[in-house]
Amino acid sequence: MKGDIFINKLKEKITIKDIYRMPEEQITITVDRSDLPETVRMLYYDMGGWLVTMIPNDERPLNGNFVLYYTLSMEGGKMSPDDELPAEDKCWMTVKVYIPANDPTYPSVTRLVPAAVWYEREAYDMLGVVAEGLPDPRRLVVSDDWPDGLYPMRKDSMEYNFRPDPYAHEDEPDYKFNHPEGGGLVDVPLGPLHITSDEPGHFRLYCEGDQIIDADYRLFYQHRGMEKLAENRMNYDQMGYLAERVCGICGYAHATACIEAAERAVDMEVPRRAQALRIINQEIERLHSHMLNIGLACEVTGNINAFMHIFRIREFSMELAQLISGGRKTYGNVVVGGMRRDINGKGIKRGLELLETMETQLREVWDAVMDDESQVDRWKGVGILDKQVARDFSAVGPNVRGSGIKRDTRYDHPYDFHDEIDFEVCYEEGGDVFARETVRYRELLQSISIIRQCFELMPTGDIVAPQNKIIVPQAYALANNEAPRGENIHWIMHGGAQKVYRWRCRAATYNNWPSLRFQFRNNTIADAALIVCSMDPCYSCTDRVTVVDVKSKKSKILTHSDLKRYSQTLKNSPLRGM
Amino acid sequence: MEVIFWMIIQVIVIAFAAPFFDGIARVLRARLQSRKGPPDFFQTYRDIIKLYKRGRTAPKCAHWFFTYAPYFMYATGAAMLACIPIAYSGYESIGFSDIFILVYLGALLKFVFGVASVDSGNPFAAVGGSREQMIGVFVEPVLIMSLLVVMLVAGTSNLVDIRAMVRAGEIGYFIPAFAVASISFLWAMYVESGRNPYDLAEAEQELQEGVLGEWSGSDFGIAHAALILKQFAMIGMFLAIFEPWNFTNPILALAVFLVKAGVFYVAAVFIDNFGSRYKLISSFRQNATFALGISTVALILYIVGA
Repeated sequence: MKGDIFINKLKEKITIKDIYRMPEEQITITVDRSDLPETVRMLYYDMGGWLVTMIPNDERPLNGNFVLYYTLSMEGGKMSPDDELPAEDKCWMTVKVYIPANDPTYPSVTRLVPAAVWYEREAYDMLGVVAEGLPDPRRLVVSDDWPDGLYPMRKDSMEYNFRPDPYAHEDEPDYKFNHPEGGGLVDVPLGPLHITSDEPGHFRLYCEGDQIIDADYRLFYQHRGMEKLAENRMNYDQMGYLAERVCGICGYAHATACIEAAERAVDMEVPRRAQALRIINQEIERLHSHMLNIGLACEVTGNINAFMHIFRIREFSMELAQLISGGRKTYGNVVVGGMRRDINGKGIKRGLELLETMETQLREVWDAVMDDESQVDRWKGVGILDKQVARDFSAVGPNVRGSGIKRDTRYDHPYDFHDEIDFEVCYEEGGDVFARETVRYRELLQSISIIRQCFELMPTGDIVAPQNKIIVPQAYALANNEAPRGENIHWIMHGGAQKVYRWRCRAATYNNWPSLRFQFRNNTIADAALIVCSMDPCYSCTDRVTVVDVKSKKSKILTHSDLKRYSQTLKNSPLRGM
Repeated sequence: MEVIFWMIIQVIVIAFAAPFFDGIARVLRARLQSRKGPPDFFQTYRDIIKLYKRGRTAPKCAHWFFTYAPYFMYATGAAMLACIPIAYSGYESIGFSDIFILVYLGALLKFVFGVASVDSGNPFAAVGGSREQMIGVFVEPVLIMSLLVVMLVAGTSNLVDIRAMVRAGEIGYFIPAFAVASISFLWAMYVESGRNPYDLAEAEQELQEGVLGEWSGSDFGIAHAALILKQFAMIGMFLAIFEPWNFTNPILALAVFLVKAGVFYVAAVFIDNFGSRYKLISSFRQNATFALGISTVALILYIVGA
């Protein structure tokens, strides 16, 4: 059975209390909470896992415990070409721990696996479970004026009579940034509203002259509480429409992942035609998202001309979206068991024409951009994401592929119609903006090829499965798909009455924010916006970053006062001795 | 007296005509970018008028310097234009029309611009302002070296006299030093006019509107107009020394100048529209070193008497 090799290796050191498989490639093992960090570390570093999500769940109504699910994608470390698991061994391993309600603590995994840092901080914010030994236990998600002792994801906490009174504007506590005073460092704020991003994220760049020494950032300005909303009020007919509102660009990927999680938990088979349509829609999203990003990467360096021409081509992808989904944005199409809208032969013909035009024009524009030395110079060597940093923080999408890691969830864990489609995982060495944009360009061509294959292989038949499956309460599953920015992971545990017990949505950029700080370092302020742009941020995710030394593999979290002292005096670096 | 009269007329005419050429440049740029762009050539006038109607805001930490800087910049730009003998080139030379005065007015404008940015208290503007000064560090040696060659060849720093000598054929492109100096001066002129890939004044993406960041409303409109004036002054300086052919009749001279300067201004779109901005410490420095090399060659050519 899948996953047995990992379970057998784990059994040598750790007592596994329970194994649960549903669906077959998603294996949940239950361990004692004291074994948690070591189990996750072994899976992560020894067996080639990547932390994809962690689900804190309030199961007190079911079994009297809080439960944490650390989910790892077992695919190999990928630090070198042969460091990868064979396709038949790739699977999802979920480490489940029970945390008694009367003692909501557990040993922190972050000390061993830095990628867990936000998940554990968010778990505290949302559920009030404390990670013992978490190096930076400050809040992450909830706003600065959130009252103590109120944890929104607890089932009993958000009655309306518990709702906190709003603070008066002038009484709101400030977020504590590390203001360097003196020492020759300039504190350059970027945001909360920044001209290159219409979304809020507050960055502080600590600069010596033009050079960025370090960066600090505060995000989650617009936390919308969707997970809570879903579990309280939504049924499965509505869930998809909520999930697609997570993002304005990769909304379709979220909707599909959310619905597929629900489908997988009850093992529902979706018609092949609907699967192909889902893939087409996701690839259309990738087309317009990547074109947007490449265009912006030109624009932030002042190359408006290239930006405008790429946007002209992007219009074709919008027209394609209109053909498939009826709207310029691919919203409102996914339902449990299939799709709402089909495409006819005439549409396919027009779609193929559009793909042809797009491909020719894209090649022309990209060649022109590559011929422009000043543009390529602006991209090369800027915002380097080290391979090891990417590995330690489980980065996803073009961000990780730009650092030479062959990681793509379409390839590692094929879903839907992907088993019939040929495509190449595009990855580039270098880790700089240039590598990431090249990855995006190559993926654009791949997307065009994937859509073409879907059109050509389009199966016949229904687009919605017969609705004869019964939702099993407490059945759970995760679903993955490769959104433009990287893999999206949705996890659903069913509840009674056709409702969700717990929905956990992990957007792609959540795993990418941590590495941003490393990308900023030793670049000039003029490149800051370019670096943020090149990771294609989706503003829903971070705060403080764990520092990892690539050579010694030790990690350390800088406290506010450490960084402040260092930025003032520039003596006794807190990173020394790592 | 007549010289002063024509000087004033010249400044007023150019100041009012310059936004028209900016409008043409914008329409052309839009076409090159496959956009529709402004409906006609008068968009820049509408922008400046619209901005001028709006109120002023200033950061609490800013001083009087920040508040008056746009006006000061505009006045400096106008004074630079007044320096250049266009309408009054047929009259006797006056001391005001001098290369040194023109160069120092340009430096003054840059200085005011930089200081006002620092004064705004916006760290992005301050960084932008300091970079603007850095550009000066790169460009001014090239500018001065090129002009030094011209002044040594002509034996005077008076623009009216130099212009008369070039037109009379006493000095000109047949002198190799003069010809080479014109090349490096052309580069310096382009950089000083603040266009992509060398501009930073409007590097909005990288430095969040750079130095213009904190001005708004009428202040911004005037600062914007002042930068257009400065570009025309830089083009005018090139035309006055290296391409001085024109009528002596003041009105005709002014008209021809506008056409010539306008062609330069609009044609620059073909350079600034393509490619990305240079980074100061890498590409920019390489280019500046190259230009400095050319101007040095000009100086050496003069010294060896070629």
